[in-house]
Amino acid sequence: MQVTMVGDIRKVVMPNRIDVYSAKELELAMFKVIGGGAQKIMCDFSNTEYISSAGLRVFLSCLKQMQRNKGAMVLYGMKDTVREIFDISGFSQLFTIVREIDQAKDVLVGK
Amino acid sequence: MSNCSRETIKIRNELAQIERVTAWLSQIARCREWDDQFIYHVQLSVEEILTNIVKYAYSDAGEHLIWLEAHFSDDRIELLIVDDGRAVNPLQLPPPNLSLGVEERPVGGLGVHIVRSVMDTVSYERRGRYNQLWLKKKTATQAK
Repeated sequence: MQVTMVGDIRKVVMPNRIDVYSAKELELAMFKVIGGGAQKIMCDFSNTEYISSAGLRVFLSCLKQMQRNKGAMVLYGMKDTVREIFDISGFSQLFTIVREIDQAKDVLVGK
Repeated sequence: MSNCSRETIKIRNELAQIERVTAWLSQIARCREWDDQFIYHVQLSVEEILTNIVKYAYSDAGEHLIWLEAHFSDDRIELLIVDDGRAVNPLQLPPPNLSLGVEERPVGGLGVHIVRSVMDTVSYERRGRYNQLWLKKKTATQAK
């Protein structure tokens, strides 16, 4: 998982598959970013073709932690098939999900 | 089901074995006219069900076998998953409350809900000391 700074925003690139195997590793990496004091995170889903409930729970844990820290997290670049799983799970109402990186930046700049 | 083929695979009750089933499903999908979303829904459903079995079905720490049987043709797949864990009907698990906010929302409990959403039918039967779960799905476009 690749983390880069874009201004004061941490950009995190998600893996191709977020399944029961990769979820644990992703969770540790995300908690490290959040634990390091990140207030603004944008997650790039453009490489992601598969997410299971094991992956969804990682993002919910991260969102809970970010809200407690008064930070903000935006997800972007999702393929329709991945977005569908967020919709089915009711996660599309919980998360800020946008199409493009520029929209993600716009959301976070105001935070 | 016309021109139907049948494949089976057996795995041990370990999370690391689920990858074998994913590869097995990819192999089955290779020669079929299935789109990516169909294959995703099938792999996802199998991951969710197997994860639940491996994590929650057994009261002992021993080795158990999980048996999968796929019946498939160009326009559908029917999967039977058999385990000898304790009797659990996944269709009777309480549905998640999707309207809860971030703080109230429990982490987990979504797997079966996702499976029921992406498959056409899910049916359960307890037979002797075995759980038998059928997952069935037809492709969006009918095969010629």
